[in-house]
Amino acid sequence: MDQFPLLLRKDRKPIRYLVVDDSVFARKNVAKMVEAFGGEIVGEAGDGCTAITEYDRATPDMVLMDITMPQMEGIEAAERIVRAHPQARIVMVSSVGYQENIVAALQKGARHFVQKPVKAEILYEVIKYVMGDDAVMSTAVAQES
Amino acid sequence: MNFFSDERAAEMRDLFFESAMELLQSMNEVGLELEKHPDNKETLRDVRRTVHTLKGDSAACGFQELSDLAHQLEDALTPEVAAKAGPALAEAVLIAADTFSSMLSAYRDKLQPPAGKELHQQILALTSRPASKVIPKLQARFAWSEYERLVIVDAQDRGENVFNIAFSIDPHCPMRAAAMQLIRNVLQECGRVLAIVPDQSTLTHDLDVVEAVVAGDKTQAWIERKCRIPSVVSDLLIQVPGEKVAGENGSGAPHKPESSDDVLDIVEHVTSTLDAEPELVQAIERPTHKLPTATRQEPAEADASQSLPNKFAAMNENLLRVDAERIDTVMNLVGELIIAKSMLHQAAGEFDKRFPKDQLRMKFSDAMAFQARIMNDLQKAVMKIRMVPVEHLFRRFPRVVRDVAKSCGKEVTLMITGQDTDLDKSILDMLAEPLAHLVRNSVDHGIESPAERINAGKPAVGTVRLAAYHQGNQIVIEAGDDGRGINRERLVAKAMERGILTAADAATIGEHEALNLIFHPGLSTADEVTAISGRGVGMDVVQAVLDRLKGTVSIRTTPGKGTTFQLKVPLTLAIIKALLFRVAERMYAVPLAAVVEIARASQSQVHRVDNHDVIQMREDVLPLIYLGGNPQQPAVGGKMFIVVIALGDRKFGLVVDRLVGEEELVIKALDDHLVATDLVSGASILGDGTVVLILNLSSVVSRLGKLQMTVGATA
Repeated sequence: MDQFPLLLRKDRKPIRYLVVDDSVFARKNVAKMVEAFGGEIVGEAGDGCTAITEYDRATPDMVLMDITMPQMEGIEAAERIVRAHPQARIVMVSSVGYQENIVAALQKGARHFVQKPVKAEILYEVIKYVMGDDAVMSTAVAQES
Repeated sequence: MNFFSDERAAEMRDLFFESAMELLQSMNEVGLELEKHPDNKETLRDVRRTVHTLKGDSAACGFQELSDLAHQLEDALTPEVAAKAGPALAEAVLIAADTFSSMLSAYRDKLQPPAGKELHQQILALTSRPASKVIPKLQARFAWSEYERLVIVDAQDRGENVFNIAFSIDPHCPMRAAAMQLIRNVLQECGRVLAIVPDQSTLTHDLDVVEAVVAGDKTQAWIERKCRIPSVVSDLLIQVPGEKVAGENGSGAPHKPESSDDVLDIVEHVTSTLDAEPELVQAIERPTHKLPTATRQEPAEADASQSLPNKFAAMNENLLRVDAERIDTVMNLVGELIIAKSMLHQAAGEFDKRFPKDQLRMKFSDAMAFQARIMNDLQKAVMKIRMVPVEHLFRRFPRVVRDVAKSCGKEVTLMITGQDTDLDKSILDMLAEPLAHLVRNSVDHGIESPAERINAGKPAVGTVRLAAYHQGNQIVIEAGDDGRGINRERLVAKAMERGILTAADAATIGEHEALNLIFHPGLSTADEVTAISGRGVGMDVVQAVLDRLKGTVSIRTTPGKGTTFQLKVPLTLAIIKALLFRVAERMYAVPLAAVVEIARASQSQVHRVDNHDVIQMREDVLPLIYLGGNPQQPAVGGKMFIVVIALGDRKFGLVVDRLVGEEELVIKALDDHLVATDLVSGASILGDGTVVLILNLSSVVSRLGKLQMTVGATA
């Protein structure tokens, strides 16, 4: 995998992520990627309900949210989070098949979407884009393990 | 670079195979459904969702071939294709399920997976559409209508920054509608959107270029940065309207702004790294090759997949998450209602007696029959809320078996049946620990080492079975093995050594009593017994939990052939059907599920064998238990009532004074501080306010049975 310049918050602290997906794999996969970008996972959730409570608890800088989940779909969770926290940055993560859901999520306030399977390069660009001025690229290169 | 450690990767693989099997099962089911209704969009979505999950999971686990195929299939699962292909699509789904299944088993055995050519062709046939599209150069027209031009000029006159923006949508982005929506969102941030093409009403199906004009206070640089949306926009053009628009439009020459160069670079970079992906995948998979192959669970999982319930079919969008406490509240209220119902019945009965000719009687009894039926349905419905399939409990065991087998160097397969049997959640939770204990014991002590097994003429791979099924009002859960069985003599000898059993008792002890010694706390912790009999540690805990659940545990064992533990638990804890009877003028109840039959017998039919009073009923010889405490008690009319109860697979005759009837009892738990006996498991209130004690049969049998035994022995 390529190396990425660390993507940090303006205050030079790691970007704090909440990863929401009902599949543990998908979650770990995405988590590993953002950690490689220099981010920090502050919460994980397997369904929409948990996502909301986790957001309230951890107030992350960025939410990576799956669309299709049991209990509460990603759209509804995204909508509720954005309603309570208009500044929330939510990136929907889903596959081609759920276009109408992504459209709905974007209408409800999601900032961007990433297709599954998630490619690190694309995720990186999307995160950088969504963080906008609130993120800086660090000259230090992400540590290779 | 490894994303996951060895341990982690192995764990993930286990998890993956477990869930993948479920997914395949549901694929098969939904595929069949799709075959029947090829134009059902809902079914199609179900299939797609399943395939999608499989795709994601297998990709995350590094099974690229599987993921690729699933991806192709997922792309084909659109309503358009379904309309065109009809039943062929369902066929493809079923073929896919088979292909995926064989790929999975290949992965599990660490073999090269089959290429799945047939499936690939099937999918290609479905989606025969020209796939390659030439990337069009961004050509913006900005041909605004007269009204729009007016609005633009007006905005410029007011000193706003107005920009024409053209987006070229990334050809790799298959979700055009989503891309369109995102662009719309971004434009909104950039300012007032004065015009946008295509507008809301246009279909965005094969949209390539979006043009818009926005007005606001943002600078061109800001807008440019904002509009270069990664993975959605591949090319961008920003202009101030009225400057070069006409020239652009007139020349018709493809114009490529400088800024788009690096955008294209990004796209190229992304696509090239996509190809590099397999490296990463290998990195994930490599450590798993080091997995020791001591345990092989394929048959277990293959079997499990046959009968796994379709979790995904049940998982519809309409799920509700409710606090368990609320359900308990409803449950309690239903319980009270049932008490109220029997009160009403009682009153109606009295009314009948007092006014036997009254017309109202019929009306009453009609209304009450109706009410009773509804009450019954209500109770069932409430119970159902609490039910979960036993699978929730069973699914953790492949892992338990594997771990224990690995740690003691044995080869064990796990066979699971009946995992779709429903059981009360709280019971299920309580069973988790005892069952894990039994399974661990089976693998650790029950199953012999491979060498020992081969010497005994058995297959080297041992089998542990888990089964669940309904039996009347109870659920039976069996945990068994085909190991060495329990050595009864050693067990008895050990019990005598420990002073649990006297020599006299040992001589007369029955098969079941001997085996039940396992549950004796004094024996259970003895290592020697564990080593010899293969059972022991914490077995008393199993017994204790089952007692608390008002269930029973029984053992079946054949030396050299294996041991099976049978746990019987009530379907639910809250309400039971019970048989009421009187002994010594007090009302008692036993769960109806335990009652086999009721007989009348005269004193002359009672025989005395080995210091037990027994009675012969057809084939069986039943030990009698005198609840009144006095074996010589004269029975009414020379005959006595015998309630034959089954406890585990043993039967006993309870001698009672008078039968009252059967009734649904709402169990009120008795606080330990309130009642200091384990003979009673709960109490209930009848319609007329009478309190009835519910007997804990296993304690009653062991206490009274023993009492009589020792009395007889000393006499």
